[in-house]
Amino acid sequence: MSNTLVLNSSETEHESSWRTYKRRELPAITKLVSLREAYTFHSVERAVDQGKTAIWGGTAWELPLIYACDTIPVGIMELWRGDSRKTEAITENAFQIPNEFCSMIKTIIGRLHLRKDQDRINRILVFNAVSEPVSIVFELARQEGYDVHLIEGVSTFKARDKRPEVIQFVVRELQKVALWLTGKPVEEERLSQEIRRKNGISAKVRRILELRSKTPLDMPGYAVLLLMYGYFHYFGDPAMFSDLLDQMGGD
Amino acid sequence: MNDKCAAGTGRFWEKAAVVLGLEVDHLGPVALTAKAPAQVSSQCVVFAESEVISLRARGEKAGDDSVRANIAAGIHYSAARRVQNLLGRVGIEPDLLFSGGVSNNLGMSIIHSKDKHKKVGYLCGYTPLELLNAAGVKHVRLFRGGNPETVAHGEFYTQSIACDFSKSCIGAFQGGDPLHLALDKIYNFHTCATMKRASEVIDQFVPTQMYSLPKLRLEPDSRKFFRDELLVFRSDLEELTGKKISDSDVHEQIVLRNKLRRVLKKFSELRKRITPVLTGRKYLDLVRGYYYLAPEELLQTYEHLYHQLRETPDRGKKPVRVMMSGSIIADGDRRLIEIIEKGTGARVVVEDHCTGVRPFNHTIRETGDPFQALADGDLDQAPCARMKPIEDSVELSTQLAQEYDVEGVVYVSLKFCACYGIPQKLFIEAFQKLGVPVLALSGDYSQSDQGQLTTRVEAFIDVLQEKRSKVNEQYASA
Repeated sequence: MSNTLVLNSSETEHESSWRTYKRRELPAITKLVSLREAYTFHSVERAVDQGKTAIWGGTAWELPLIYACDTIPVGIMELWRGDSRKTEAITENAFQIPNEFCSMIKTIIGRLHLRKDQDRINRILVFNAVSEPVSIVFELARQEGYDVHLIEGVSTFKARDKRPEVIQFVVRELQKVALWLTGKPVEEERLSQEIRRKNGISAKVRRILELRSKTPLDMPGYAVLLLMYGYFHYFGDPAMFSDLLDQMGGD
Repeated sequence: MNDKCAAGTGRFWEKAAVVLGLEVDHLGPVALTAKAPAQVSSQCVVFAESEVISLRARGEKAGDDSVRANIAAGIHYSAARRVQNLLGRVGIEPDLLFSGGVSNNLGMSIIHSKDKHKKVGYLCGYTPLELLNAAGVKHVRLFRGGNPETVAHGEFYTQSIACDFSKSCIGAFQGGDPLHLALDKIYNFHTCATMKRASEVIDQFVPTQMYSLPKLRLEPDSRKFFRDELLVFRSDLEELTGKKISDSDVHEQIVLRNKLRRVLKKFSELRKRITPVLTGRKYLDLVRGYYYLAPEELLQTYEHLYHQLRETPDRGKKPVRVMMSGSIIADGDRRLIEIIEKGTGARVVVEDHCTGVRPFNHTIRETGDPFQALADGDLDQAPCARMKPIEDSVELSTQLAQEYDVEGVVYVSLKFCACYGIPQKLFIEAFQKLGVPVLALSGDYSQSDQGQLTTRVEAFIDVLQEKRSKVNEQYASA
């Protein structure tokens, strides 16, 4: 049994998947791969067509709030999962972004530029404390017609900077996110549930990583990668991801 | 000094040493042992000598063994005050060199550096200088750049993927620049991720404190939050200096700094004339004073100079009028402006970057809560491109181009400066919509592209001259 991921060269970059992953697979890892494969922005768009709400971003610490607002967060990483070279070239041409800037930001804006007329995930959530290149490409996305909501950037540079009034300010900024998403304040009980879910999932992921340190051959690196990837957005399905983590721990 | 006056010269120290019964090279070390430096007020060596004799006589009568040390220290402080008064007239700039025989006097060197004021550096133009002045600190903007050697020092800490300005900021500390290392504290407002990281590195050399700077400049909540940050800044300054800063102290400084802003704007407007009174380079030199010098003396100097320049007749050949826009032009980075002005004879008549006229296009409200006024003023000022919405930055840039009737724009993005590199197309297209040609340059502080830059700038100015000729011909034929 090989522990190596083999990409099928006949597939396009976008279609490449974990299908050809050959090893002594634990059933939960097979499920993890399937869950990841099902989570593409195409699949999220189908959910949007069926009446769901989805946004680009919202996959970090603000994740519980996004789910509490019945919204599917789509990882920005999805934008550079495919067609990255092509979209970089488009960006350098269409936006004249100098070549010294990273592929990541060029792919983000290039992909959004290509999708702008038919993108059904046309809302973007940005935390303003991100690096300037990321922050500014989302300004360009706003000019492309995307509805971009900005959470004002606040940094606590040293521990003493984490002052109560700073925290209160961030609270108000998060309340604005809920209004932007749903037009009404978030239900606090629902948000608490999502925070508890996040804490529970964190504990499960931590447990899986501890188990992996004891039996590393049962969980190869790519599975860890997918696990961490899912941790940021639950692959759009929190309940299923949580159940999967239970199964992985059991396996 | 001249042959009739010995004030402040080595001769003064020789005479004082004789009166105190010391060798001249012992005068400094003895002065440093003083517990209570004597008051020596005379400026003249002859009078100071008799004052010292009198002090010594009084000390001997009192049986004070340390009297010589106290008198020696008093002489040093007296001379230091004279020198500081003289320097105050011309302004103290970075890299101050203490030369001549007296500089060998250890006591004099130390007493000069024993300025009771705290010395503060800051990294960004969004730092409210009103608070620094109200705190009574001496301050300096750390915006030197343009030297590849300093950049190399900065690369000791950074990868190549950071702008040369941030590397220069770090490099000055790593390279052991005495001005930078003499600072007691550095403050920075979080303008960009690179400068945030640079501040974290600089913290290893001199204690550095950072503050959040909102990006959503029009949002009332952001303004209120920024006011809170400024209140914390005030508390930090009070802790540093031990001096309470009242609202009226801040208000007084707002009024004073507004006067400076107005006069710097008026200086710039002299460049609206057909024959600009000031070159772009000289204007940048005037602006330097704003970031380095004490405001009271600076205001007098500015006003005096402005009244002189205002009287200059507006005649002569109209030069090609150029605007510089884009990333920061560091103090010391004069290469491009020299190429434009000296190399081609064109004139930089306005700048849209944070070390030119841009910050002086507005004043700060002089009524009501001074901290909210500072917060609003900082966010209302002509915005850096990191602010949102970005359209505001672009709009101001085009307004300046029209107001100063420019014929072309040199848009400079410092390599790896995201704020001006990534949105450059927005700026360029906005200028082009006005019919103003743009030369876009990507620069750094290396010197290897001098020839290439010169060729590109010369070609651009040629294009502008040709365009002007065509317009003139059309006008004449019409």
